[in-house]
Amino acid sequence: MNNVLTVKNLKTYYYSKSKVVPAVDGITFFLKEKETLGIVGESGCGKSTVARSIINLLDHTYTKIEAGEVIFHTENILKLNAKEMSKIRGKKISMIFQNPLTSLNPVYTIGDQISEILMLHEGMSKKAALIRSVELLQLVGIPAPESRLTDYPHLLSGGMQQRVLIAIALACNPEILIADEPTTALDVTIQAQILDLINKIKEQYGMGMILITHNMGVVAEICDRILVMYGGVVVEEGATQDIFATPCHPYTKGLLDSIPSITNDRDELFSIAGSVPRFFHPVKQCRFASRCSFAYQKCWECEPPLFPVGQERWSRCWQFEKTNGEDNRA
Amino acid sequence: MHNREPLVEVKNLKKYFSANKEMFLKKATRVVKAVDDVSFTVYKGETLGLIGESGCGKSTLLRVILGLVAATSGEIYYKGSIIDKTRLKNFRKESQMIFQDPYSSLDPRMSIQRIIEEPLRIHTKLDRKEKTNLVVSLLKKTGLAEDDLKKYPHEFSGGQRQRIGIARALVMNPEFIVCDEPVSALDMSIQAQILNLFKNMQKEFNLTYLFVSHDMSVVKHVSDRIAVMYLGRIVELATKHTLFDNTLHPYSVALMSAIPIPDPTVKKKRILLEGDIPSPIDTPPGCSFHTRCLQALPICRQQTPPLKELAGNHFVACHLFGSGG
Repeated sequence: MNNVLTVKNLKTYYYSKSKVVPAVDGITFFLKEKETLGIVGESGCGKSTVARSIINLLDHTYTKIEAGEVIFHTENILKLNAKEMSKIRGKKISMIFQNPLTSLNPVYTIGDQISEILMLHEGMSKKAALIRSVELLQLVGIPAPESRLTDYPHLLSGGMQQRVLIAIALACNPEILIADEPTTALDVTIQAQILDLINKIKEQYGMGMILITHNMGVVAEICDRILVMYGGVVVEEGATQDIFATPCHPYTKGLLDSIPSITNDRDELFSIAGSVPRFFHPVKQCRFASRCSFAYQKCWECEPPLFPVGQERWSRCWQFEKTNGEDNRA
Repeated sequence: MHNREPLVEVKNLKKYFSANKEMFLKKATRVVKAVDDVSFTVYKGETLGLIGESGCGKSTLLRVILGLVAATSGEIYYKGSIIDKTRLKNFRKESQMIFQDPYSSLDPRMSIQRIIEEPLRIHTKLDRKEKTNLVVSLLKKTGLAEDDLKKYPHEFSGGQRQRIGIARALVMNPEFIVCDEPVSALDMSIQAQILNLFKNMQKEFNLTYLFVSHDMSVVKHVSDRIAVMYLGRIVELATKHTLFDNTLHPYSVALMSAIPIPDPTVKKKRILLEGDIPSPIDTPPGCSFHTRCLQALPICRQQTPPLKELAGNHFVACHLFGSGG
């Protein structure tokens, strides 16, 4: 299968007066056709920054993409200028955000907001765009779509707003959908509805999807492969089944053990000691060392590269240095 | 389960809010039934979990129980006697609350020492040294250090702030602690630390928790019994094993099936509920769940099912079970 998207050694840094924060510090991954790739990690690990770097939604007053390539099919889209990029963003690659209410414009109707993208990217007339909007609203399961066109976002519930955002993201049949915590703001029963919808539509349109989340349950259900991020780097990458069955990085292992289980009882939960430290450029140690129970001298002295630990599987931990060679992708 | 001492009993508690848009026209016609005829008992030493989606009235229920919001009607008993104005201060001494958001629940202008010892200043006559000793011992028990006394909330991370909130709740040596989504603002790895702390503190101080969360796996982990709430009412109440192994109410069944399980080998059949939770303003007549229920009967549209005890302390409010209403 072909890779729709390849990200090579992406580095996005945030600048403050005195410090440089490496929010994303050298990330390499690929997205195959029709695949769902999960990016998981805790707050501040850089997962949203990755998404925003790909479609260039960063605020350039304090952020800078230091290095790397984002290759969409064969073209490095980081090199594109604003005008060229706006032809890809929303049309070929579109995004769904976490908070549906703040992503919709409160002073425009639902119909305006869906037809805007159709008129811009597809060159439709307002009339044709509105007809297509009704179809899209129907597709995402909004009852009585014609009457919703003239509604303002605040009249809809959170789940319905998220459906509208999905309709906007799908308007131009994108090849890649980036979903940044699409269900975090929603209730469990609504989350189930939205996940089901996203999955169905993905199959129907044959899109590739990057799903960013902190919920391991969501990842287990809909992702084919996972990247686990910590402190701005990928610490583990592999197929979903493999990662859940045999987590190779101490962080992934700790994370999975710390989730309370529905199916069996445990008196005490495993917990990763301490909290996520802040990193400043340059980082010259394993980022997880301060919380890792296996950490030894070497972990504090230099940062481990990704070691291959199986078929399309990598782990950023020194314990695999002897058994496996270095990552030969980059 | 039997012969246990009730600590807090809630009887037919109601809290209605007026939802009139014209505030100055005094025609109270629309009401939000945030808590609608809720009765349950919390036994000494147990953790009662309360689960429900946003807007179901969980937080209002907690606030009414602690007397932070006045109830519309209904009674709350503490250790067998009704809580009225004369007993409220004593009740508040022995009951505490831990809040959801560790950022807004600590006063940014107070040092950690002042935050934690504030209840002592109100309820006790300890001198400064005694107070400091007590605060330091609690800080250590909740996993913080003595040098944190003089720091301010902004110097701490979310998990540490939640530890401060727990220390503040424990300082009066309470019996009853109400926890309103105490871990939902925390990251995964921190959540496990705080949940363990809750369990350890319960053993050490012999606490009784009323624990609210929207995360089923968290509630299952901490609770002995679980109550499921939907639109202001308790629809099912049982021990956690009964609730998970023998789920009866159609809403609980759908809620259980909606939880994503962090195990890709488990493929389960999901029951997808149609539509959203109806607005709590002018709730539908009859069972509040009938608009989304897959097994609704004609009677469900007319009569509200009462919460009935089936076998073995398993309470369900549904016409499908028991004698049918």
